[in-house]
Amino acid sequence: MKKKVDIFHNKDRHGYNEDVKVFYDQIIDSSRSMISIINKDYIYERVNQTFCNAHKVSSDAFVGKSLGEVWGDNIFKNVIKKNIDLCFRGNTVRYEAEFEISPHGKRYFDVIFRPLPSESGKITHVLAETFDINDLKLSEQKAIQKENEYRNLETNLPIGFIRCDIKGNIINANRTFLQLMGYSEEESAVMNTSINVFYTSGTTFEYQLKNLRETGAENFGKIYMKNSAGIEIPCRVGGFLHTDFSGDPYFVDFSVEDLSKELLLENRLKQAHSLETIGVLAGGIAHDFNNILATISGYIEMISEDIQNCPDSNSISDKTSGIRKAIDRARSIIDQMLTFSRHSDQEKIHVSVAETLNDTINFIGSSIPANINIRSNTNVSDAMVFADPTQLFRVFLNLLTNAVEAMKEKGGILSVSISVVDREFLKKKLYKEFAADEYVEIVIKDTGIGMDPVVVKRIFEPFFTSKDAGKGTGLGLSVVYGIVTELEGEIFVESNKKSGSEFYLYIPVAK
Amino acid sequence: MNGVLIVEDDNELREMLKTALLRRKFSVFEAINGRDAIIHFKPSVTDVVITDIIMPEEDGLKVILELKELKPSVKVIAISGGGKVGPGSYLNLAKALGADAIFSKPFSINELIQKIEDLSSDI
Repeated sequence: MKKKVDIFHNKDRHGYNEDVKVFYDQIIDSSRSMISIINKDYIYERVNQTFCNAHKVSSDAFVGKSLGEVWGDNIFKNVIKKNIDLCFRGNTVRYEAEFEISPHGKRYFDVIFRPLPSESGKITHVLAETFDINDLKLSEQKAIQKENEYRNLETNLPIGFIRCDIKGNIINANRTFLQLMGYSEEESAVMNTSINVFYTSGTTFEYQLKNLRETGAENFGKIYMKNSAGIEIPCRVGGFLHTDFSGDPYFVDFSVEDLSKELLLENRLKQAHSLETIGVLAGGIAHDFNNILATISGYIEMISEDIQNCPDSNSISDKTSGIRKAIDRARSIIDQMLTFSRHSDQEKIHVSVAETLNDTINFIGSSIPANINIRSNTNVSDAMVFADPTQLFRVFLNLLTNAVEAMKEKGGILSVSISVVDREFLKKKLYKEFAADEYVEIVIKDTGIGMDPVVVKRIFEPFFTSKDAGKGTGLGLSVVYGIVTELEGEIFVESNKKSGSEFYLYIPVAK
Repeated sequence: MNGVLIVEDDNELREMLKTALLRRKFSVFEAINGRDAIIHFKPSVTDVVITDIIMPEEDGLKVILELKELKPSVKVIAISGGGKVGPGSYLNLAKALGADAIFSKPFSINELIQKIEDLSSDI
């Protein structure tokens, strides 16, 4: 049986190799760890050079001192004692703790206690190996903090984030994405689902991955994604390919941004812009046409007078009267075009919206079929606007007439309501800034045949009509648009073939 | 014989007005814009001025002021292609600046001539 070489306890034991001792001493002193021997009374019997260097004192300062004296009584009682006692019972113990070393202050250490049995087998000493892991610990803490910062960002940013494996299956999804796609905030609902499930026709993960292998990161632009209810939502999708150390694709991260509001705004801006362009054209043409009409009308008047004394005056006057009717028609169209392009003269005064609306309802009253019910809350409103009462009447007349027209076959309910809303409300509803503080909101709703999205898009365009040829000039709503715009208000419509149409008008409250 | 000055940049319209007035035995003077009107204005033989409000070179509102300065007793009729007539509009502004009557195109010739005759008899 091999004799244990107990080289530390007896420095000058006979019969053992002095060189070996020196050799082992050198190994122990050159270790990067602080190495020490502690006896059952918790006293240091030996410490290595590293231990001394760390404390910047010689070994005499430690040998013979207790653990409590070197590290502090509190630390000894609360942190060290239980671990070293466990070791004296025969266990190898490893733990991490923060200790104060006077030259350096508080640092983190990794400590291993190994039991050192004597020749009899009883554990009389502990070999302590203490390694400075402060830098490692700080790096770890920083990494965790960064991870938390990232998690926070990922959770709270109003952009959806998902991570997919290289097959396109979702392995991570943030709250915004889940909300956007109509799942409750349970990530498990989308885990392991292929992202292709959300893509509508044309887009596939495979195609995107192919691009990403070349570009690394890409903005895929507008993609319609299907939510949990099957509804398509326009989204801006960006992709980023993560590769592992060998450069192979590892995951793909996607950002998914809801574009619905942006698109809505864009469309309304486009519509307003095109109507503006038409308006400029219409205004210019209208002026010239008015001159032409005035010239023709003047000559017709003169001709009518001239022919009064002619023998065929009756048949001629039928014709001149026909010309006059045509001139009147032309005049009406020009007038509407001028109103649409905001070139017409307005007589603006303080007008009660409720009064004007009620007047209009009374005006058309007799022509409303019995199968149409009117509901209005206009009596409770005293809201005033600064407008030409005739023009305002025209707006209401047009909208009410259209509503009745839409319901003439099957009847229905015509609802009319007035309220006052503020700038914040409108900002949330229409996603744009408004100039005045308060607006009068007038809603005219019908339960009639409604309009296709294609029609709704063009409804305010002059001469655009969904009616059959010969039944309407298509100028009515363009005139309404012109008047409302001239009042620095806003009008928009929601309509579908199932429930009918709702027109929303917003006119600044008169100050 | 009452003299009428027509200030109108549209050639055909001006020609029509001239024809209508000559038929009723008015003597007619023409100008194609405001500046032209001031240059060719003959106060001694002109009782009534018909002017379009919106014209290139010098707008009709200014013309009203300047002609009235040259002959305070001259009657000015303002005409406009703009649509509705009423206070707060261009035409009402014309009245505020001294126009004696306002017409919007297309107007009745007979009504215009009636107005010219009414205004002339006031002088």
